[in-house]
Amino acid sequence: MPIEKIHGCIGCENCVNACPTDVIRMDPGSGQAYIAYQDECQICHLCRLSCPVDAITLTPDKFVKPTVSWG
Amino acid sequence: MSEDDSNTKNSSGGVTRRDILKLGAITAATLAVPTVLKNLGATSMSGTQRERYDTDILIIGTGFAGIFAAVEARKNGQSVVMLDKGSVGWSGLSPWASDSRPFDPSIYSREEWHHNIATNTEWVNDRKWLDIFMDESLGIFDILEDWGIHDCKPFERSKVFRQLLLDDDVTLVERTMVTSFIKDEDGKVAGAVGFTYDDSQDSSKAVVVTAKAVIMCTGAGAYKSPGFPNWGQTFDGDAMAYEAGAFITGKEYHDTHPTLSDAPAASYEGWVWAQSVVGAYIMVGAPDPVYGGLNLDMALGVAQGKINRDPGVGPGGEEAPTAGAGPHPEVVRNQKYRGKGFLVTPGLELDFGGFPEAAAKQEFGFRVGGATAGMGVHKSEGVFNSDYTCKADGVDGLYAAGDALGSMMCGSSYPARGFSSYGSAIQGRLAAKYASEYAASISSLHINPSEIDSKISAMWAPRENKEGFSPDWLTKTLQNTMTPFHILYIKEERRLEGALSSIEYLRRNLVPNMIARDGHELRLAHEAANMLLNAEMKLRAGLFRTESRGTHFREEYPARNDKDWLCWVLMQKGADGAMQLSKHMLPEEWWPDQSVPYRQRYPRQYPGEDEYLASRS
Ligand SMILES: Cc1cc2nc3c(=O)[nH]c(=O)nc-3n(C[C@H](O)[C@H](O)[C@H](O)COP(=O)(O)OP(=O)(O)OC[C@H]3O[C@@H](n4cnc5c(N)ncnc54)[C@H](O)[C@@H]3O)c2cc1C
Ligand code: SF4
Ligand code: SF4
Repeated sequence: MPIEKIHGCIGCENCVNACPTDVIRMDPGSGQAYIAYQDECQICHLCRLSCPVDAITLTPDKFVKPTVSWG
Repeated sequence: MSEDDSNTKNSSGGVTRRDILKLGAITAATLAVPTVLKNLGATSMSGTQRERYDTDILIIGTGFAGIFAAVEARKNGQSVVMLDKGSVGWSGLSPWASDSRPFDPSIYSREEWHHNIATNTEWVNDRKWLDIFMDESLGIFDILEDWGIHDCKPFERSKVFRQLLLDDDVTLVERTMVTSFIKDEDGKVAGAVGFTYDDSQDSSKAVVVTAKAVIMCTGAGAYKSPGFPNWGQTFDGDAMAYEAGAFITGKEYHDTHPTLSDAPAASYEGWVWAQSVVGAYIMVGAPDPVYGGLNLDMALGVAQGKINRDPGVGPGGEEAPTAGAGPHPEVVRNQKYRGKGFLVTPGLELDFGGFPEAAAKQEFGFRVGGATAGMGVHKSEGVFNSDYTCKADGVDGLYAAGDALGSMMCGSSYPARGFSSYGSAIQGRLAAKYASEYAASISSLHINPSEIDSKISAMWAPRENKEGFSPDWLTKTLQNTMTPFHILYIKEERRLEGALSSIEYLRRNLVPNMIARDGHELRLAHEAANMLLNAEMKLRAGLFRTESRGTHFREEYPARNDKDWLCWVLMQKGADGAMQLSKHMLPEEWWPDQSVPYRQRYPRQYPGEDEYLASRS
C-alpha cells in the first residue's frame, strides 16, 4: 500500500491541496478526507507533512495491477 | 486529442493529405483495434459549464518559474491569471529543491564556471544562459531571503507564496488541467483551455482563458516512474507547444536519478540514494564514486555536484591537464548556500530528525535507475528559444520558462545541484519581461469562437468515448516499452526503431480511443497522451544523434563526434503532421579547442570507445 489510511481527520483539506496527483478528496457527507484514487499515490509524503493532526499513514510499498492484453 | 484542430486553418477547404491520413488512422482503428473496455462514466459534455477569464498575461504553472514570472508581470502593470493542475507550493518539482547555488563572485570565478560546466556538460551547454544565470542568481537568493522563504517549513512556504500572489492581485485558478493553447485569427497563441477535475466537489467545468501573451511554466515530465516525486509532471507544456508549432529540444538526454531496489516506488525513502550501494558504471574513468561517471544504475548522473572540481581527471583517477583554463584540483563546496535553499526536503528535518528509520539503515536494497525515466536534463529540455527572450521559436505569443524551457543551460547532463530552481526563477522573470512588452503592444484580440469550441470538444473526448482503452493501461504499456535500460539509456538503432514502432501505434490508434470515467481519469488520459508524444520525441532524437555525448549513449557510436554534433536537436510538427528533426549548430567560439587531444576534451570514456575510435582512424 502507498497511502494506507486516514484516521482522525479534522477536515482542514490541506492534504487534498498538497497532493500533486489527486489521490485524496473530501467526503462531503462526513466532511473528512478519504483516499479516492490510491493507484496514483507516488509515496511522496506531502499529504502527511501538510496534515496538522498527523492523520495519514503511508508505507513504502506499492503494488501495480497485472498487465493484460487489452485494458 | 493529438491532432491540433487549429492547423486545419492551413488547408483551404476540401480534403487535404492530412485529412486522408487521419481517415486512414480512423479506419485502421476500427479494423485493427478492437476495444473491449466500456466507459462506465461515458457522458455527453456538450452542455458543460465554461468559466471564462480575460487577462493580459496567462501563466500556466505555479512553481518557481511561474511565481517569479507573475511577480515580474505585475510589476510591469500587466493583469495576470495563473492556472495550475495542482496548487501553489505543492505541485511540480518546486517543493523538492533543497540546495541553491547562486553565483557568488567571492567564492567562484566566472571563467572557472564556464570551463568546468562546459566540460561537465560535454560542450553543448548554452554559455549565454550560463552568463545570465551568473548575473542574476545572487539577486534571486536575496529576494527569497526577503520573502522569508528560506526559513519556511514546506506547508508554510505554500502559504507564503500564495499570499504573495494574492497580495499582488494575481488571479489563481488551481486544480485545473490545461490541455491546449488557443490561437487568434493570425495564428498567435492567445490563451488556453483546461478543465477542473474535482467531480465530487463540483462537476467538471471547462476553463477558458484568453490572453495577449502566455507564459508556459509547466515544468518537465517523466513516465510516472517510481521513486521520484514527479508523477504530476507529464510534459504537458511540451505537448501543447509542439501542437501549436513550437520547436522542442533536448530529448536525447536524461536525468539519471535512481531509486531503491526493494521499495522502488517510495520517493521518500529514495532520499538515501547518496548513501546506498554504488552500482556499476557505464562510463570508465569516473573521478569519484559518488559524483563521477554515468552509472549503469543511472545514479547521480555525470559529474553532478561539483562545479569547482577539476573535471580533467584521467581514466585511472590521475590528474590530467584540462583543456582551456588551468587545473583546479581543490574541491570547494558552496557551503554558504548548501541546504539553505528555500526548501527543506520533506523528511530531512521533520519527524524523524533525518531519514526514515528503515531507510537510514539502508534496508531498501541497492539503488537502481529509472526513477525519473523519461525526464531530460533540468534546463535542457523543452520549448526552444534562440534569442534569450524566452519566446518559443516557431510561434508568436508563447513564452516559456524554467523546466519547460529548453534553454540548454545544462547541456547534456546536469552539472551541479542548485542550478535548477534558480534557473527557473531567473527565466520566469525574464520571460515575463518580454511577454509584458509583447502584451503591451497588442491592443485587441481576435479569436474565432470555433477555435475555442474545437479545443474544448477535443479536451472532453475521452469522457464521451463509450468504449476504448484506459489511461492506466496505456501508461503501463508506455512504461514497459520505454523504461528498460536497453531502450532508454543504452541505445541502439534496431531497438529504438522497435520501440518507436510500438509508440507510434499507440499514439495513432489507441490515444484517440481513450476513455475516462470522471475528471480524475480525464486528467490521466491527457497525461498519457502527452507522455506518449514525449516518448516518440525521445526515441526519434535518440536515433537522430548518431554519436554519444553526456547522458546520450549510442552503443554503435560510443564516442563524441565534434565535427557533426556540436549542435542541439530540434523537433517541430511538420505540415503533414509528422515530426521533423533538425540540427541547430552551436557557435564555433563555444566549441572545445580541437587542438586539444580527444581524451583531454572528454575525460570520461564510454565502453568500447577506444576500440571504436581506433577502428575509425
Ligand atoms: C527530488 C528533487 C530534488 C531537487 N533538488 C534540487 C536542488 O537541490 N536544487 C535545485 O535548484 N533544484 C532541485 N530540484 C529541481 C527543481 O526543484 C526544479 O527544477 C524547479 O523547481 C522547477 O521549477 P519550475 O517552476 O520550472 O517547474 P515546476 O516546479 O515543476 O512547476 C510546474 C508547475 O506546472 C504545473 N503544470 C504542469 N502541467 C500543467 C498543466 N497541463 N496544466 C496546469 N498546470 C500544469 C504543475 O502542477 C506545477 O505546479 C529538485 C527536484 C526534485 C524533484
Ligand atoms: S503520498 Fe504524495 S501522492 Fe500519495 S497521497 Fe500523499 S501527497 Fe498524494
Ligand atoms: S490534512 Fe489531515 S486533517 Fe486535514 S483534511 Fe487531510 S487528513 Fe484531514
